[in-house]
Amino acid sequence: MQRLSLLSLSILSALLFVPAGAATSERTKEVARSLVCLCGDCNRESLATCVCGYAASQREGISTALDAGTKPEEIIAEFVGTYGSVVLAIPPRKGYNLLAWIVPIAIMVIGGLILRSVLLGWRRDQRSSAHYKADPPVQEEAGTDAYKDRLRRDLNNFDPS
Amino acid sequence: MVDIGYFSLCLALVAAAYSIVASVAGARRKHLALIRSGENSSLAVCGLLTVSVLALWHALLGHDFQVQYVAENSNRAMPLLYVVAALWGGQNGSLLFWGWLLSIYLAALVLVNRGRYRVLMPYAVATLAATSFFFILLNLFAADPFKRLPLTPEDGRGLNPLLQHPIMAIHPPMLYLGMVGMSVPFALAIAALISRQLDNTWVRAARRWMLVSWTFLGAGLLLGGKWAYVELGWGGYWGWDPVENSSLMPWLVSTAFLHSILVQERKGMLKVWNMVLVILVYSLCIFGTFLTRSGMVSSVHAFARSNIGPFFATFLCILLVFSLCLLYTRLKDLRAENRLESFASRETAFLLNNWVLLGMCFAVFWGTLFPLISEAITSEQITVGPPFFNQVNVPIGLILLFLTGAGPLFAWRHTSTRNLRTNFSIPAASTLFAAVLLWWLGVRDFYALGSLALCTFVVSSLGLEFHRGARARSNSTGETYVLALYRLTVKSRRRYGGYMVHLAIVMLFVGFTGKAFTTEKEFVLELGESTQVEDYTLTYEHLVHSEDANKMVHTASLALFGGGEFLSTLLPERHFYKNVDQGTTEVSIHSSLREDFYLIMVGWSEDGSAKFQVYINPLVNWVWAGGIVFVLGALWSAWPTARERRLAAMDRVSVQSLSP
Repeated sequence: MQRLSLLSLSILSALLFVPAGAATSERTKEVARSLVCLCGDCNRESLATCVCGYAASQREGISTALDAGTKPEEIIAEFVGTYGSVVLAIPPRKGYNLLAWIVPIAIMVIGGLILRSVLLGWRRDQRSSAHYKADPPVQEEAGTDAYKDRLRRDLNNFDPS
Repeated sequence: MVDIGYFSLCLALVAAAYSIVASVAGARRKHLALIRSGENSSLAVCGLLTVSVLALWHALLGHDFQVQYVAENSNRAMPLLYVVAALWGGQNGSLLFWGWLLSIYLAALVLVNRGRYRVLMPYAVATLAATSFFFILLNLFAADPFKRLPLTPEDGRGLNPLLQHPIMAIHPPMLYLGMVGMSVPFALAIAALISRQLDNTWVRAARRWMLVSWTFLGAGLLLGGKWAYVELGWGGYWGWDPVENSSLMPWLVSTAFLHSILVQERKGMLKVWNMVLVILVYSLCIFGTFLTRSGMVSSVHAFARSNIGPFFATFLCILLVFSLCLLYTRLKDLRAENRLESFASRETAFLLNNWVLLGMCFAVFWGTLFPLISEAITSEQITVGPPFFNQVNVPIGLILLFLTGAGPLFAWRHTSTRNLRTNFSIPAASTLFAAVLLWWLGVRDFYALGSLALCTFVVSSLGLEFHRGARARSNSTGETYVLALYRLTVKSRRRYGGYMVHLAIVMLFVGFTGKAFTTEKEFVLELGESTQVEDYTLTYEHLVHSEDANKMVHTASLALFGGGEFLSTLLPERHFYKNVDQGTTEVSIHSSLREDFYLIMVGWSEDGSAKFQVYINPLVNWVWAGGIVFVLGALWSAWPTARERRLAAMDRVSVQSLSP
């Protein structure tokens, strides 16, 4: 009984792994890079690098299609036709999905504009308000004369005597 | 023991509740004994949760499979280390672990600040105790780690095989220490808002906690990368997976926080902004936990999933509404004490740094959530894979790298054009030189060239900073240059520790850039056959099948030669775990500072021939080395200076003299 279960285990174990077939060509990998593995276990790993058996068979499919003269774009389109856009590694750059790219860039730009207006506002405040007029700006490079002067002046101001 | 664990969890809930009430009431009535009582009861929470954790460990190590958690996450065949690590291997245990770490942080905060920050402490304790209360509540009512099964199974199911790796024993605790630790600065910020002590006190109190948590989180992220690299078998260490992203986001924002508090401490500016950042950091920690545990997004790292999503969502909402409303009511008291004096100043550099870090965080956030948003609107599923994150984040990363080098070249308040020219001349010249050299060496990839040239920029600007400081010190004190350099870094730990971290960032970028030069090859070898991969020769020697109680192991043995010399024997494996019907890939790596020879066994046939996949990953070790420098630099920066140690000692003495 134990031997039987061990045997079934070895069979299962062998099934899990891909038998050594032909090596995948660079052309196949190139196509596979735009796609993801949809086996369900691998969590949409790139089809080019996924180590599961399902991915290997998909790569073989791509390889056969390429050998038969199908263009890479056509293969990808066929994948999308079968599985939907989810098989693409990145969202298609059209329609609503363009937002994936536009929004981060827009946020960066808007953030930059806000930052600019805040900085400008601060500068304006600085000029208009006498309250904030402090010492003339100096180069605070440690060890320079200007730095030492400023330190001495600050210390003198600080010392009540 | 299991009952003791559960009972102690119940008591911890009561103690946490008492701690909240006593601390708040004590603070409002200025009742010192009540405040102390609240603090002591938070220490009790820590003690009680320690008992609970020990009880669960006892059950795990004693293979008490009647406990559901033990049966689901361990088995008799598992090595001891993984049985210990099973505490955080599953949902309920990891939540208990989280709560326990939180209570340790709370106890540490109480003990360290017995004589300090008296206005802030009661509210900080209350905030942390409230968070502990939430986690204990979860453990008691939604994720009970001590739940018993009606029947005791013979053996347990075991830990997910992918998690049975030595790094996995340390990577999750690191991440948790980081994420949980970030609740301390948050609690201090909330305490400052409630108590209206809105000067720099909370920032001073919070800085080191944030720095330490940030270091843990950073180290945790890198360890996670290392685990993915050696365990997942796809040749990379970072896959922009939702779980990775959800820990990266708080790290990015806390990096921004650690920079912008410098501006507050020095200039009394950005007070509101720092509050926003610390609230954001903590919310992102909770959000990340929610995201990965609710099963909303699919991930290779989400090993602990269940129905606790709604609890976290509710907690997050309460957290955000409460803290933002509180912040709103205190806006008037958070006015800046100073104004910007010049655009050409370090203040501006820090603001730019914040802008870039938050931009990057948003890009990661958006990419992670876009599939959900898209599906909700168009009802079509899409994938947002690594190529998206790389396309968006690489340019932002390069701006950040530039700022890493440029920031230190600006002085506080104002840098004159003449000084800017002097400061930038050497770094700019070396960048240009590096760019030309790299081009000449054949580097044509725009981003790779840009990244490596900018790395040169940062290194030369950092070198200049160290050199100028050491020279100035040497001139004014008469010390030798080397001694001056050493004393400088010891006296200004914070500044030079920070620069060490900048150096680590450069090393990380060098490592990341190596990815652009990765080569890969897949091939089939007969037994005894050899193949050439770039400068390496690989000979397939034999294939061995073996097994132990836990798993079946298939090992290929290959000899690796480089330049005619034998380098090492590579042993890529495939494991098959018996209890869970799951296989894993164990890669074999020949590593050098220049590159990694990364070998995977893809499969084999009955005649012994096998298919292999090789990745040659240049510079990848720079990432791990950068990680070590990162931790060292951060520790250097966090370590108290002699002056701070004296002040802390004085605080302790004054408290002792005050006590009855």
